[in-house]
Order: sequence, then structure tokens, then C-alpha cells
Amino acid sequence: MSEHRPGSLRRAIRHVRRRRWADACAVLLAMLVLVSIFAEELASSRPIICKIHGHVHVLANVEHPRELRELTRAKFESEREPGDWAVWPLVACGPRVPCGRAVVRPLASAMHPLGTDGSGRDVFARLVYGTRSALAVAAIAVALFILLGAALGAAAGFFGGSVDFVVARAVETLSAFPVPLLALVVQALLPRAGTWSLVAVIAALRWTEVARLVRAEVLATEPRDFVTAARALGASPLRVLYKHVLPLTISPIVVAAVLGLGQIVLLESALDFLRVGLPASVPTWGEMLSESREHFSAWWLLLLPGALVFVSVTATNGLGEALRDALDPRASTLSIKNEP
Amino acid sequence: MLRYTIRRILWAIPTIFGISIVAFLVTTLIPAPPRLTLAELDDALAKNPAAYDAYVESRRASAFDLPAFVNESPRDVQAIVAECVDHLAKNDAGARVSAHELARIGGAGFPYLLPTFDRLEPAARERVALALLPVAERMGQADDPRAHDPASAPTFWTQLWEDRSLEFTGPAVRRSVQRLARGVTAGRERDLIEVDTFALPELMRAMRERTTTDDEVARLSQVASHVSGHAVVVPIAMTHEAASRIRADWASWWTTHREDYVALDAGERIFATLSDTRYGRWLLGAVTGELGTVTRDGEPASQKLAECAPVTLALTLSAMFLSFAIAVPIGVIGARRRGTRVDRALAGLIFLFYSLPSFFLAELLDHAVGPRAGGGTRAILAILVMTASSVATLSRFQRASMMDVLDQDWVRTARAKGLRERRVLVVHALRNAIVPMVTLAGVQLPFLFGTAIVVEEVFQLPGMGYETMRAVESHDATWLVATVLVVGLGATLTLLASDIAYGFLDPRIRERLLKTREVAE
Repeated sequence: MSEHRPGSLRRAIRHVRRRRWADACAVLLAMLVLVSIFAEELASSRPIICKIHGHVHVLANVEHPRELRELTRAKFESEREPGDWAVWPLVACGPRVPCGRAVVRPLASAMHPLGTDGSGRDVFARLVYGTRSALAVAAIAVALFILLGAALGAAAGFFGGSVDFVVARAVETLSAFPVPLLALVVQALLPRAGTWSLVAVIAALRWTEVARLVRAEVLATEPRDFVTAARALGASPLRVLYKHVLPLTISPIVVAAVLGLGQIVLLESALDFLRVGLPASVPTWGEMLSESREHFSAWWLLLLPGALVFVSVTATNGLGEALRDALDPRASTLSIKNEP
Repeated sequence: MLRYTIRRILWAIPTIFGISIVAFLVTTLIPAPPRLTLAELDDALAKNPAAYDAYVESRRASAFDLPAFVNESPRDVQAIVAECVDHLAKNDAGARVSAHELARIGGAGFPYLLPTFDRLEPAARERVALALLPVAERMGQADDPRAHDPASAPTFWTQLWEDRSLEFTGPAVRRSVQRLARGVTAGRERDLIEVDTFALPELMRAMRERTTTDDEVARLSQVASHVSGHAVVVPIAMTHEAASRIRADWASWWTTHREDYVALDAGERIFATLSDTRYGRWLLGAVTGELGTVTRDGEPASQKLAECAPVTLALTLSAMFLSFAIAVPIGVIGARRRGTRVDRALAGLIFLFYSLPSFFLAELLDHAVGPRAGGGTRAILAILVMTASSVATLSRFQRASMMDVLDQDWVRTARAKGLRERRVLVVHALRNAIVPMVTLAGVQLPFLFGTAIVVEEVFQLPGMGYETMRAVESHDATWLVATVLVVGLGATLTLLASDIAYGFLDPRIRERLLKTREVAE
């Protein structure tokens, strides 16, 4: 039944599928997700499957077994015994440990297709694992801020009165601050800043938009007949909220989630660029960009991670806006950019 | 209009309160020195009095010795003295710490201590009298052998109070302070040193006054340092900057130490339940511009803000003007040529700009001009990057607003009258379509400041963002908190101004706001 409603999600997705560029954005995004899931198969200093000294190791690239701690591809080739074989990832280098000469140009070495950075780490591997950290942080933060925003927005719209007042003032207060400023101040002062604190801070700062959306949707749904009917049948307020009101807010939440994904990738890489985001041991696009400042002539250290941030943000924005246009053509073009 | 303005301002008050709470919560992230028990304090004092003092000061400086929001029993000099005497009378675990505290409070506590001296047990009296020995030293009375002898020390202090109690009055001290300020002679300085810390309230008042000259500040500061033990460096060649630094130093010291030297009256006591808390102290400091000292170079945060804010403000405002100047025509063209190839090309371009990370763009431009570019070039590039980051939002908004207006009847009427297209667009449509853009100016400010952090860092421009990053490197909480507060308040005030301007330009907005209870979202 819901398929026939103009605002339904399934209809919107069908609509998006028909647009070529929106489809391209979705495919791009899916590719980035695949890259981050299969990061170890794309770049790792250990082989995927190998037989060394009579032992078979499966998925050594993920598990990093103790016996293969010192192994590199060059060492494997030189100490190879008859009967040994290995299937290597696309690039046989990890993202953290230096692996070859510093500042190698892309395509100059078969070992490092995209070159190496200032400390000899493989750029391809760092980009691949950077994709993983960016998408993981963004996905978790989006999930958190949607939960928080939906809960607070629904509470504000449903209970009204002082709850609404407090939530509205909190939204107003948080919107007054530039998100990057608060995030970086908290990350700088928190005694144990790290991945989780970053995710928590982003979620704590970004819930306001979702809360606003959900509140508006709840207020719009409240006076409708099916809500009154559910009440008349004796449903408790929480059941009405959960079963009848909240399901209608799914579409705007999905749009906010997709757009939020791109904005958080942007925010997170800006914070990494300023070195206050993820811990230094985690490879990130932003950190790669800030390292490029030390190697002015190494264009690939600047362009590759920058292009990846740009492409991933463009893809999520494209998909999110196509979804929103499909759900509510009138609401288009009015989103206000929040991240640097 | 007036009612609308007042209503809108009243609405901003909870937000401003919320902003102060957020900035205060940031201060609570700073790790607090651990809280020691009385026995541990006693131990610390016995081992190393200097370390004990440093510990107490460090907790006090950030008001960690106070509750966060409500102080049910604010302490003043009278309460502290009574508590210390109690410990000394019982000679319990707190006796050593109490003796130290009594000596620190010194002369300011005499009116509450010495008149009731006789009521104490003889042994307690001796302990209290001996605890005051450092005070006698500060007052220049230590050569009297009676002060050192447990048996005669109580008599010494009773005698002193009988002789001098008239000097321990506000007016007498005020006269001495005025005389000292006017010109130093050994005698005038001694007058103040002889009432010890009792002179502090008057000294502080004199230093706060605008009529006090720089040299007078130096003299007053020396006496205050002598009695309080709070060292403030007074340079030999006095400059105006040094004097204002000394004033600021004492002002912030006094806000955290006032209750040790002054008794609260009933009204102050009620006020102190709210003000004598961490939040209250912090807010009071923030309101009076006492944002603390930047640890990196010892400059007051307010002064540093005054240096950096103009740079950031200039960048932000130029970027805002430039992006409005670019966005409005783009939006108008897009709306006029709705659905054509021109519109789609513009929309695509805008979309790419919308997703372009500003730190990436800034780095690209920085690489393009090379590291030796001059300050002017870098400032212009910074403005360009900030403009690029905000032009997308603005032009999309302008296009949507223009499209709404172009569908209106009066535009059709204008066209039907045979007006030239340019006149229809600019006079009839744009004048109405540009009004909602006013609200965006308020929303853009926090966003542009966020971009400014990145841009100033890349182009090394000495604004608030650059300074913030240096503060992050040196874990300077003072500056970070000050920035959060100032930026939050600035953004709220801009939003307020743009809302009022919007109401001024569009009467419908005024009516809507006055009719509904909630701010139009």
C-alpha cells in the first residue's frame, strides 16, 4: 500500500534508479564500501593464502599470524623453497609500516602503483585503509546521531510543552557553534581522545537536523485521522508514536542519513587534516593531505586523497539529493551546508 | 516592529544561556587535579609546603574546590577562620593545614580571631598564636621575642590587637592606600604592611580604579604581593601594557581569592550560593572580560582575542560579501532559465563546489602559489576558498526563492504591462526574492568560521582559527574556551540581527512570530 504514497521510500528509490547520474553516485558509493570491506584483499603486507615451509596459511592478510611476522613479499621470493606458493593482495604493503623508498612517484615502481609517501609508506594502501576509516566513522556517527535526533525530535513533537522548549533551545544553541570548532576543542581537551570520542562528539553535534525533521513530521502527523483512530482504539501514547507516527518519518531520515554520511566524511577528514581527528596510528585521507604539506612537489600525495574525499562526498550528496527530490520535489535545493 | 524586536531578543536569552553552558562544559573537560583527603593534605604540607601551596592554587584557579552549579554553604573569611581555630583547638589531623591557612589569611582574619582569643583554652590559644608567627614576620613584628615563645605568644597577639584594632577598619586602610598610591615613603608602606592582608580589599579597589596611574599600580602591586604571597612581576621600567597586565593579573587573582579575605553579608551570601560555584565564577569572569591567560605566551585571552578577531572577521565578512555577490546573479539566472541547459550547467557546477572540501581547495591553491607567496596573496586566496565553500548554499537558496517569486501574480502583471524583462527581474522579482537571503547571512557565520579555522591554518594567517590550532597544540584550555564562547555569542547575535532585519523587511514575518509561540523553523 505504501508504494502508492508520493513520499514512500520504495517509490523514491525506483525514481532514483531511473536517473543516470544518481545511479552512478550509488554505484560509486557501493564501490567505496566494497573497497573498505575488502581493504585487506587490496593491500596488506601478508599474502591472502600461502604455503610456506609446508604450512598453509589462510587469510594471513587479515589475521597476521605470528609465524609470518617478519614476512615481506621480497623476503618470500628470496627464501622461497620448492613447493611454496602464495596469493598476494593487489598491493603487498600495509598502510602503517614503511615499505620501500620514500616519495616514489606513481607508476614508477611495480610494487607501489600509486607511489609512496614521505616516510616510505605505500599510498595505495593508505588510501584503501583511509576509505575504511572514513566510511566506518561516518556510518557509526550517522547511526548514532539519527538515533539521538529521532528520539529527541519525536519526544519534542509528541510531548510538546517543556520537553519541546528544552529540545528547541538545545538545537538553537548547538546550531550557533561551528561544528568543526566544537569537535576540535573537545578532541583537543579530552584526556583520552580517540576514535570513539570522535564518533560521539560528531553524533552529539549533528543530531539537531534530524531532530528538527522528525519533530516537524510528528507534528504534521499528530492531527491525522489514523492517529486519532489509534488513540480511540485505546493505544498507549508510546504505541501510537512507535507504530503510527514514527514509520512516516523514515523517508526524511533516510535522506538525512545519506546526506549526513557525506558531511561527516567531510568533517572527519577536515579534523584529521588538522590532526585532531582519529589517532595518528589510523590511516586517514585528511592526515595524508596534511602530510602533503611537507612534500610540496609530490603532487600525488595531495591530489589522490583530496580527490577521494571529493568523490565520496559528491557521491553521497548526489545520491542524497536525488532521493530527496524523489521524495519531496518541493523541498529540493534548500539544504544548508554545515561542514568546511 | 518594536514588539517583534523585543520578543526576538527575549527568545535569544535561553540560547545565550545555553551557549554559556556549552562553553562551561568545555572547561570541565580539562582534567582536574586529584582531590586529596585531609590526611594526605597534612602529609603533603609536612613534606613540602611549596608543593602544597601549588596544589591548592591549581585547584582554586579553576575553581575545582567549588561545586559545579549550586553552593549551599559559601565560605568566607569568618567561616574559614572559625573552622581553622576549631581544628587547632582539637589538635586533630587538620591542625597543620589549619595553621598554614590561618597564616595565609593573616590580618584579614584578625577581626574574627583576636577579639575572641580569650575564650579559647590556654593550649589552643598557644597553638593558634604560634600559627600566626608567619603573619608577624610579614608585618615586620618578628623581632619581638614574645611572638616566638609559646608561653607569651598569646599575650603578644592580644596586646597587638589592643594597640592596633583601630587600624583594622575600612576607612583607616583606605586612607593608607590613598597615601601610598600618591607617593611612596617607607612609613606609608609600613602602615599597610602592618594591617597585612586586611588591606587587600582596598588595594584591589584602588588598582581597579581608572584614575590610578601606572606607577601607582606598581606600588600597590608590590604591597599586595608582599601580604598575599601572590607574586606579580613588576618591571623596573613601567609601561602601560605592563600595568594593564598587572591589573588583569590581580583582578583574576581576586575573583578566586576574595572570600579568603572578605566576610560576606547576608545579601552577598545568598548571591554567593550561585556565584561561588564553578559555573558562577567562570561566568562572572567571562562577563567582565576576564577570560584568563593564554598559557602559550602569557597574554590575557581577551587581549589576544582583540588582536586575532579582526583578521578572522575581515576574512569572514569579505567572503560573505563576495559569495552573496556571486550567488545572487547565479541564482537569478538559474531561476530565470529554469530547466534549460544553462540552468543545468550552473546547477552541476554549484553541486561540484558544494562537495569540494575547503581544506583540499586551500591546499591546491597553496601548492599553486608556492610557499613564498606574500601575506596579501594568501589572504586573497583564503577569502576565495571561503567564498567557494559558501557560494553553493547561497546560490541554491537564491534560485529557489527567485523561482517562488517568479511564479507570483505580480510578476505576471509586470510582464503583462509590457515592462522590459530586466526591469521585471531586478525591480519586481529580485527585490522580493532577496529578502529571505537575509536570514542566511546569520546562518552562514558559524559555517564560515568553521572554514576559517582550516583556511587560516593552511595559509598561516594570524586569525582566531590559526590561534586555535596553536592552542590545540599546547593544550591551552583558556583560549579554546574563550573562542567557543565568543564564536557562539557572535553567531547568536548575528542570527538575532539578521532575524530582526528580516522582520523589518518583511512584515509577514513579524506577524507570524507574534502570533505563534514558537520561532518559525
